[in-house]
Amino acid sequence: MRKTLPFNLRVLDYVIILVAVAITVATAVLLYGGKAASLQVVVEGSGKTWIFPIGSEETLQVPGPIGTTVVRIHDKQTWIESSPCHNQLCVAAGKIDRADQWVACLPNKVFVRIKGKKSDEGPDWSTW
Amino acid sequence: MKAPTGLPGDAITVDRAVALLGAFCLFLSTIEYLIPKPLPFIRIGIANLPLMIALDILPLPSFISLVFIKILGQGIITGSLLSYVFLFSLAGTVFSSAAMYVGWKIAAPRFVSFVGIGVIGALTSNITQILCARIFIFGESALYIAPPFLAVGLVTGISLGVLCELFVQRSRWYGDFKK
Repeated sequence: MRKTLPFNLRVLDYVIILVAVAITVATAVLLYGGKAASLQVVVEGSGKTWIFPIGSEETLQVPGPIGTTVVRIHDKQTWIESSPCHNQLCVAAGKIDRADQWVACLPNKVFVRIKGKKSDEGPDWSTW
Repeated sequence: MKAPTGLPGDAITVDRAVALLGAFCLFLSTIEYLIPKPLPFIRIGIANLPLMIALDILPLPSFISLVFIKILGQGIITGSLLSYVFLFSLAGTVFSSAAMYVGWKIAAPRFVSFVGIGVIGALTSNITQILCARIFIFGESALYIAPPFLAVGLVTGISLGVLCELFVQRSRWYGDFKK
């Protein structure tokens, strides 16, 4: 084998490098590993907060100052199905399914967002 | 005034080495500062080279003063001396130098070369800084910067170790000092 370095690495050099690689890989796996499974839907309204895993099946009636906003969680997506507001922007906002996306009904003070780690899968449709 | 004898134990010679290596730290800090960084905390750490060189030639008290010369000098050069970033630098350098010193005294040169010591230093420095970031600023999410941070540290640690090993082999100054 051709000698590439003009000195010899010693036993512990290899051990230390291996340990360092192991620590690096372990932190990467630990931190970036358990992906989208941990996404949660956070629904806030009238001073209360509800948290559901995104995989759950829920139809939530959230009371607000002007009536009841209906939030649906279904098939790993969540959206506002109906709301008593007159512009219906929140309903038009459609479905959200990724970390840090949100949809809100301002007149009825209901805020729905998805909490969790961002996964890099797929394009970012909001800027694409 | 006593003339330096050039012997390792000679106080004047040791002091001169501290001054020279200290100046070397400041110079390398400046060079380091010139290099653009992709992420705020990721550094090459070339300013640690003199510390590594010092491991084998300076007695502990002189080594410690060199460590503090490096920390202070770097703080002044990068302008972080009076900011919270300085705490990171302080903690990182103190712990990594301690780890390198202990590692060197225990295992070098028979079982470990500067390459292993460099990796120990980089790793300790990075872990310390990540923990500082976690405790003082960002909370839990600071840990998310850990993997790229540690990976870069591994590469720079190995490179610095190789550089140091080459220096030690070729430098006449170092050779004279060791005699």
